[in-house]
Amino acid sequence: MADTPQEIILLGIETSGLTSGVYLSGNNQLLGEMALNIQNIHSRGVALFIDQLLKLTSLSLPQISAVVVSAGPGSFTGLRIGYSIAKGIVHALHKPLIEVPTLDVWAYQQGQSRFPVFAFIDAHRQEIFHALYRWEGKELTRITEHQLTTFESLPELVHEKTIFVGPDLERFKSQLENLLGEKAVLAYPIQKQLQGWALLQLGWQKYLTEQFSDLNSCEPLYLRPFKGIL
Amino acid sequence: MTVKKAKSRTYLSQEVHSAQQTADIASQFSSIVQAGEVVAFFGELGSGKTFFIKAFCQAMGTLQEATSPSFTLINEYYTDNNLFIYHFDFYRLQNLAELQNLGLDDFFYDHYICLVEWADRILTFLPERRWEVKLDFLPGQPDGRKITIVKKE
Repeated sequence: MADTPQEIILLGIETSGLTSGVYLSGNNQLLGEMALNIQNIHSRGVALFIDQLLKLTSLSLPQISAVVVSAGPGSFTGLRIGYSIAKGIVHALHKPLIEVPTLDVWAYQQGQSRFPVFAFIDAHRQEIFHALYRWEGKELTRITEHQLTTFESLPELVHEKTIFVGPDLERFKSQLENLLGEKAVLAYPIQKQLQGWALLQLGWQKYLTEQFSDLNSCEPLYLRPFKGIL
Repeated sequence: MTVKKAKSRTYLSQEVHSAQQTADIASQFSSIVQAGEVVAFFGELGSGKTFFIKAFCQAMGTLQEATSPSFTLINEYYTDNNLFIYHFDFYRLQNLAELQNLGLDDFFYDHYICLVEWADRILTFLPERRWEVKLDFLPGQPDGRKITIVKKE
């Protein structure tokens, strides 16, 4: 009798912004998700969601094949909570950790487009975290590094019609249109939350190619160098 | 890159001669500070920064009494209607690493009220848009203070 192929279960964790999200997929199909979009919930929400979601899907932690963490950039505290939980689980279970940059997820969930995709997150102090992507057939390729620059320098970075995506798009909509005119393409309806299926699909691609992170050295993509004078 | 210099607008500049007068100003000030704003406090040791903050939080209706977070660096208070106030004290701040571990921007750029004692120790980390409260001793008057409140925007 042939062995039944083992189902690959991925557990996704998103805490890079307002959303506290936990997602489960089995062989690249979304099994379930739990998310809250309210303040101060990461430290209380994520572990609870993991427990509840596993119970509701009749799974247990040891059945997880890998943990996929939304790697930032984003909230310093949020990312640390997400990483702590993700690292704790993979350390205990001896399973791989997969990091997926948060901007990659935003670009991916927008879907295929003939325009380049500019994913950004408000970094405060008139700065944004961002990266530029292009769809080549069914492949999304990141064509810049993840970067931190001033919002006002956008005209130097965007030279053609480009789709803008990210959690802060609604808030920056009119500023983008003022700065870039017709080059700023906003896809409606504007997506405000990172999508668990997109995080897990990108995680799945990394799982298949064994792009696992080193538990001891990996850390969130903070991007902003910490500097200042005391 | 264009660097915009913050404009300052004086909201109040007043001499007070009793703790009660200081508390009254703190209470009055609490009615105009909005969620998402940062208030930086300046003043020598014993000038009444923590006292001002206690009165401010009491007027805001926090469920906890404000106490000095000299050792914890941050205290969290909240009200019945879910307003969070974060109270920082950087008097005992040792090094930059300590500050890095706090993730200050997550506090300063969210929908909280942040009250920062010894703000002069972390000036380069403060948002440009902020309130500044300065408490100066009045010579020869133990309870006398000059209170200056400025809004930078």
